[in-house]
Amino acid sequence: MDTRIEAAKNRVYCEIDEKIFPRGVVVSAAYLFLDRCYVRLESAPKKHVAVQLKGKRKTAKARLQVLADEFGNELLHQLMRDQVAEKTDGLREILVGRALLSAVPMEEEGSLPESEEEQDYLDDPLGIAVPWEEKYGDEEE
Amino acid sequence: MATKKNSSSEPSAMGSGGAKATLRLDVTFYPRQALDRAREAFSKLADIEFHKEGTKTVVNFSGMRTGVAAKVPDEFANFALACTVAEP
Repeated sequence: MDTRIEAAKNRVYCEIDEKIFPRGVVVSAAYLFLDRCYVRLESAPKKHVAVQLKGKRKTAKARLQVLADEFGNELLHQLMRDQVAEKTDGLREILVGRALLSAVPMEEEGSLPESEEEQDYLDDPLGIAVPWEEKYGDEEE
Repeated sequence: MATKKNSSSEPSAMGSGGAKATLRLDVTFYPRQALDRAREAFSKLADIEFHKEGTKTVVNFSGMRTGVAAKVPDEFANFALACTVAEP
């Protein structure tokens, strides 16, 4: 990332190589700075993206440098998010798919299988509700 | 973004129709849909017109009130960029 502090213009100018930080990553990072400064993005030669961060008020040179450094950090952060999102894409689809399927209501009450309809919530075929002492108490003694 | 002409907003003296300014935005980062949405949002602050020049969309602002004229183009660009991310 080639960065230039232009204090007279109250801005930071940087050129970012798209081979390292894809365009989407640069836009995501820039988006997070919209509340702090005026952001301008443009295509630059040699597959670079030019980013201009201009202070909303008159900003000291040191503060502009901090802004540039924080933008660099944010680029890395967004790149990491992008890579993790790409790696976990399949897993996310499965999780969302299952969550949506489990949220689908039954179409009709009568559509339950017959065997399930016959069951009562008081039935306990596996003896789960039977206390442990009643089940195994005598065997141990 | 190298040249000043391509990247800056250029406010000009206020005439009878209010202050004017011009902005040149890269079409790859600022699609027309986002610009239209921004124009709608800023319609009470300025009269905004677009025309395309190669890879740039030239945004002409006119009829801006003096108090807000310096900020409108930059805020407009920020808003348009936000639109591209939030509602692509």
